[in-house]
Amino acid sequence: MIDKPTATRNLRLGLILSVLGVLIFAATMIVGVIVSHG
Amino acid sequence: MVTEAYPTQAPAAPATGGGGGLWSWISTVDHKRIGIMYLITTFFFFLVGGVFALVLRLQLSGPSKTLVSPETYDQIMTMHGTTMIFLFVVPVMAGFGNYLVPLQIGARDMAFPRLNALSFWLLLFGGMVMYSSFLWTGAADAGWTSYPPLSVQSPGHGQDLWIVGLHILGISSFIGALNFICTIHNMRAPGMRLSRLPLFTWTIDMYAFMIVAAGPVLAGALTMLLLDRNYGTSFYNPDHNGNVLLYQHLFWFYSHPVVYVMALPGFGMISEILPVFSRKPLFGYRALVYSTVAIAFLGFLVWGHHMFAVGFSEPVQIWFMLASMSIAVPTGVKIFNWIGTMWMGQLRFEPPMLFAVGFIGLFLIGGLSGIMLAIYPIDQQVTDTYFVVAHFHYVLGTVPVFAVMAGLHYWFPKITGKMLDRRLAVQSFWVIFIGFNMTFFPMHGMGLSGMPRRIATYTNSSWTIYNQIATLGSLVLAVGVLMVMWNVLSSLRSSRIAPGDPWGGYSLEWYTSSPPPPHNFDNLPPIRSERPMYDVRRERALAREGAAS
Repeated sequence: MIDKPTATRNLRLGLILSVLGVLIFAATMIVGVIVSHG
Repeated sequence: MVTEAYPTQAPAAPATGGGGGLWSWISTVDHKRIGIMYLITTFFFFLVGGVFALVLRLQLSGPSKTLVSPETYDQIMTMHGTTMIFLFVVPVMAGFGNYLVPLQIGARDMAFPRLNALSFWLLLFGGMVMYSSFLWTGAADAGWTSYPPLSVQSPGHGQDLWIVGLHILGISSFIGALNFICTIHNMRAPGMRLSRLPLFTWTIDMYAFMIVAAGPVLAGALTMLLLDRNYGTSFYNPDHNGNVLLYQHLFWFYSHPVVYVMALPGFGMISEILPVFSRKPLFGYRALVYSTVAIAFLGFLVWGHHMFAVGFSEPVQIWFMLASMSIAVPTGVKIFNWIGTMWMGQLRFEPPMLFAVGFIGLFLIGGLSGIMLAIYPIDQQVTDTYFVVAHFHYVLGTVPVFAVMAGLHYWFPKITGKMLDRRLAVQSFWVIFIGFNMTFFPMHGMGLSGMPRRIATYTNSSWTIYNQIATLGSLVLAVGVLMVMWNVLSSLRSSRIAPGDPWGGYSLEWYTSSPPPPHNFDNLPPIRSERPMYDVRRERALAREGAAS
């Protein structure tokens, strides 16, 4: 078992990276819309 | 002075679910078992991708051959590239990373063990979705790059299954990358500072950051492709004012970094192996770390060199040319440091060292042709010829065939507790070395004499001799790979038991038994440098000397 502070740090970092991934995906889609329909 | 030991957490119940039955493997969340399953799965895909390559080579062994139809050739060519990149080289690094990173940093497991298992099962599922297209209307046939308009207009559902399969593989690698980053940055043992991380772990860290930054871009590009094919949108479709170059920009913004996603862990393996078999510290540890980070950063600035033929303005061409050439600087730092590591060392040409040295020499050939291709007037002359195929196989083919093989021969004793047959390993190295060069070196000549890539047949008889040598070489290469596979399978049943540290390794995985127990370490040595195992052996020797006197 991982101790609680480490688990909390893991969760926080994992969430930050996940949000970053979603934002990059959304930005790519926005670029696609602007370039092809703008 | 006697080595003190930090106790690790108490041995937990085996995370494998106990026992050695099939269910214990299916339900496992243990990083070592997941790593092994990654390695078995990815090497299986490597063999499948290799069979595809043999079909391509046999078809091209002479002019106007009819072994396969042009349609089948396109499908096999597409699936060869896709399999080798997305189902072998990228995930095989996740396999080695899964097994080794927690051991190298002194951790009990990955940060998210269940997410880790999910990454593996998604890899298998994604591969099955992609391959299922062969059972339906035929596989994707627009090449591994799948440029529109061809990929938009490709009939049947093979291209759709390719896109969906790649989405699943992308999710697998993204959550795997997230897990690596959390593990490396939050789970290191006391004393394991970033400045002491083994080079392989450093490169897996950069591999993971690059996947997190680049993966979602490919996901976006593929989503738009899927929408164009099935829902009437026109992101790329030129018939409805779509922009075909948009896909190329997005695809290469992802796929050029992925070149380094594949190469960097290979560099890490070489950086682990050379010092051990040279009996010296790694020459310029910090320079190798900084060059790894520099390559990862520069990898995002150079995608346009894959698109020199589309007609950029001259300043844009010059930018991508100079940025691409600048990657030669940190790559050159690595090669000089590897040579510096071997220089004046007590070299032992064990199989891992043979594959590592072979990698350096052959990767250098690919690097030099890469410099040529970065010069856009040269690139425009050889765009879409076999010269490009030769280049990327000397860069990306050397990673699986030499760096991964070096890693396999180096860590096999740790993973299985058995030693490989040394003689067969040395023989297989030379067969692979000869076969690889016979296959890919003539492709430089093919390309310079104008043979286009991605053609199912040809009539120009001046290309025949190059193609015959390449086809013969591919068969030799296949024999070499099968020799390695036979060595692996037969060694598993052999009586050559591996000790905990058969090579005199420097990193922490060699501190534990071979194979390691479920909890990895009973205790950990103090970590005072980037070579904790060297420190352990030195202190033991000093203690013995002290006791003797």
